[in-house]
Amino acid sequence: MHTRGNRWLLMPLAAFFVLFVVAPLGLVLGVSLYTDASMGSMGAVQYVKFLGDPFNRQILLETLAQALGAVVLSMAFGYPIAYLYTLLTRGWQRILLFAILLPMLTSSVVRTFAWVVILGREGLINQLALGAGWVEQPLKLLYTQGAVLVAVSQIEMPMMILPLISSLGAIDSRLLDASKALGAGRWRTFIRVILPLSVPGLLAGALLVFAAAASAFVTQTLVGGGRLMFMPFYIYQQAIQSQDYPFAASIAMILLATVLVVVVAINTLGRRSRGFVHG
Amino acid sequence: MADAPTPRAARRGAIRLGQRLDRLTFGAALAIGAVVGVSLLVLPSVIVVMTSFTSGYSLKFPPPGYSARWYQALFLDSPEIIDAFILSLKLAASATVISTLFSTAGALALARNPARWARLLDAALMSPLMLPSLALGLGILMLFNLAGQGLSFTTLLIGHIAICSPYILRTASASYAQLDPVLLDCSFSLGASRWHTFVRVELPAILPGIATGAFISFMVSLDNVAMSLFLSDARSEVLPIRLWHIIEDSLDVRAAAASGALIAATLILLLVMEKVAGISRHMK
Amino acid sequence: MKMQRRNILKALGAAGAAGLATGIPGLSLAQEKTLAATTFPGAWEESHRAILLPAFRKATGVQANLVASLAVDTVAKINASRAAPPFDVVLLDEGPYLATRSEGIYEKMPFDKIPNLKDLPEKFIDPTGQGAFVSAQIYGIAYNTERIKTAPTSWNDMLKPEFKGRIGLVSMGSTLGSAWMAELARINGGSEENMEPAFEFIKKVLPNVGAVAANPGVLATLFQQGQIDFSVHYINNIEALRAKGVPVALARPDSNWGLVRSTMHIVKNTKSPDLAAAYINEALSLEVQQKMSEAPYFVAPTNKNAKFTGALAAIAKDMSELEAFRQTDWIKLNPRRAEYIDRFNREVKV
Repeated sequence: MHTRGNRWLLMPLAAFFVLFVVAPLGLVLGVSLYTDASMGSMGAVQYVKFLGDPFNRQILLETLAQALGAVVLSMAFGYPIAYLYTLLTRGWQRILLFAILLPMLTSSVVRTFAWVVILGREGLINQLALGAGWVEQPLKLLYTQGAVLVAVSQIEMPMMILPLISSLGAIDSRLLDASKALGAGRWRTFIRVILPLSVPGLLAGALLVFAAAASAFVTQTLVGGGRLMFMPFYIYQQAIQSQDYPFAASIAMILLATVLVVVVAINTLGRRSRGFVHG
Repeated sequence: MADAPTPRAARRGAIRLGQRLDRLTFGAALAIGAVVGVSLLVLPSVIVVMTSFTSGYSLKFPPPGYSARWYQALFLDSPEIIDAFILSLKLAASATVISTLFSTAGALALARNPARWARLLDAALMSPLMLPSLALGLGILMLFNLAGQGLSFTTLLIGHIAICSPYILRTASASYAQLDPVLLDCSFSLGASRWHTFVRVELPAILPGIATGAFISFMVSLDNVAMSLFLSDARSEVLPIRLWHIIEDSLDVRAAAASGALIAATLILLLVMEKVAGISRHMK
Repeated sequence: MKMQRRNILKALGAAGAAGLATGIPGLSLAQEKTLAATTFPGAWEESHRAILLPAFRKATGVQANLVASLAVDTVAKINASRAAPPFDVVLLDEGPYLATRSEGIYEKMPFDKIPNLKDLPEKFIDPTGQGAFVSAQIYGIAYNTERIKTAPTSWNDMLKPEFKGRIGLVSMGSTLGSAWMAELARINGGSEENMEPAFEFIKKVLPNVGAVAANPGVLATLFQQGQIDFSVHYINNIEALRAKGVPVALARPDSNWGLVRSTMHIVKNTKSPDLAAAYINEALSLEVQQKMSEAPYFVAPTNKNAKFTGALAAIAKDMSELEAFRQTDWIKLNPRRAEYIDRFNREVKV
């Protein structure tokens, strides 16, 4: 049902995309190949500079570790919520969906602010711990790696839950009936039938959470404080504060490349796993 | 002899006990997991709203007392925050309108096209969803520097359109793909023109998808920080960045009030969109 | 029901388009009549919003647009876009101002449009006419009076084991950070050109550090949240915190109070040079200078008619006494400041 006219509908979006997505990314790649801030000559100096310095490698590794940790935590806490969704009636499902959507549609600044309130010296956790007598002095929670990990995981959790809900919802209920009829208990059905069939959702969620967590600029900076440095802030600092565009571009390319590698890896895993979903 | 259970009955009893235990432990694990999960999801927002009603100066939780003073301070005494909010609204509205036009047209062209080039282009156009928008923001900044153009509302708008369009493309495409081709055949066989079919059959069918996408795009633009950091004119700040400065530099409780107001506004908008366009069906 | 929904959606679309049509031109028109000014994050921003902006509005009818930005960042942004600068009038510290004085990014001040310049001692007006000193800032030992009962007397007190996890540091990207590091270098046998002793001190104090702030504003919020109890800080930030009920105080280090000066400049190629001149005029006016020097900000004035009162008077009776305080030789520090900032960030990273 396609007349040639349809190709023209694509023009505005495609043109915009080439001009303002492809060209800029190409520019980032190009600028990263300059040898210094004055952009005189070219070479891979910036990449050598980044990867050769343990300080920089540490920043990259910490960013990736934190992103992976966020994937694991959001899976652990998000799965029960997605599972719960499948058990609810339509009305309750809508309410749960709103509870999931509301944080997703709120600014990351607002959501990160919540963690500043929770983890602060006078915040929720410390008040509970002091009140219950578990500790004598308030704990230092804010400005630690753990704080960033927990905050980012919670903030990106909806990105994991939504694909999971899709995936779990797509499981043919006859498979569950069959499993029950064959005598498998709840746990066995879960581990042998539901979990494997939800893998596409898990992978889709993992992809989204990883990409979002690696670039969670606001949370990393507000909850991480001045002593922790991650890739996103490093890019901003080098570009805007130090005005060293080639170096900033190289950091951006490295971040992009790393996220892309993980995305492709997850996608490949996804295609392989289709095997046991469709058999 | 009737007192002691037979081996068979005993085995059946054991199986039933095992089943009950299995059901119980699974149920318990699920319940705990769900309670922890949902609390984790919802509690932070609740805490922010509660904190915004504190009567004191600090972010102590639970608050020492309750008062609406910070909302008063926010709405009556914070012209810079209101200005930032208005700027963000203008930006979000403009970005959404333009993205909707671009992406709806794109969805109409791509969604039902099985050709390989169409599938590839579709994936490419959705890629900004997955890429760190910082890298894109940096790139667009460098593009404008190269072209000798300073930063302005327009440069910021362009950055926002780049990240908003994929959302509308995704939901509009999904909606369009679900359109039953039989309906189109019927329309044509009844003598309707291409244009007439488009306006009366195709458009209404994908409108909910477009509306959902537009809603998401509006919120994404309103909330965005990364693009705005790189591409906004230093003269004017958008709301999320203004809030960030308040939180970092002065920890003013007005930040909590602003957050509370934003959460309330988002919730109301969400409910309205659900009523008007039934977006919950298109969000997944 | 379906018709209703469709109509609402159509209306929303039209509203959005209307917003787009009227929004953009409206925004650019408004910018012609506003002034973009910078200030420092924290108590400086608070005091400017409370005192300077209303005074400026009263004098010109224009509501200035205030952006908080550290001096080094402000200069970087101006340099990145000289033909169309993002700001019209900027607040800087001595360091970046002296470093960029010869780069041609500031306008010569129109003396006829800034009559209050006559109330400034001559040494507070830049000899090339590109700016004027608007204040002197005093820094000292800031500490939480509830958690630290006896006031610390020396910077070396930071090394004491009882302060584990309670010390706050501030980045050298801020003037406070750089001036303090220079001071640490000097009292440990170094100078602005030899900052090794200062970095040695940082290495030694790291186990006691609770948090590192990017700017004085963040440093103040760390006190407010109770994340740190002992750091360097400006009197204006500390007094502003006290006014909010936070139990902090400023103590005199045995090596003496520190002094840092701030300057204001009109940016070259600004579209609102007259408004910028009026802004500086207001900043130098006796009214604004006096109010800034009183509670809760206690920013030392440069207008010779302003009187020292309250907590400010407890530290110095008048401008001449300020001269004796520890000052930084920015000319010596500037050439390597970027390198020091980078080194500092690396040293403190976890």
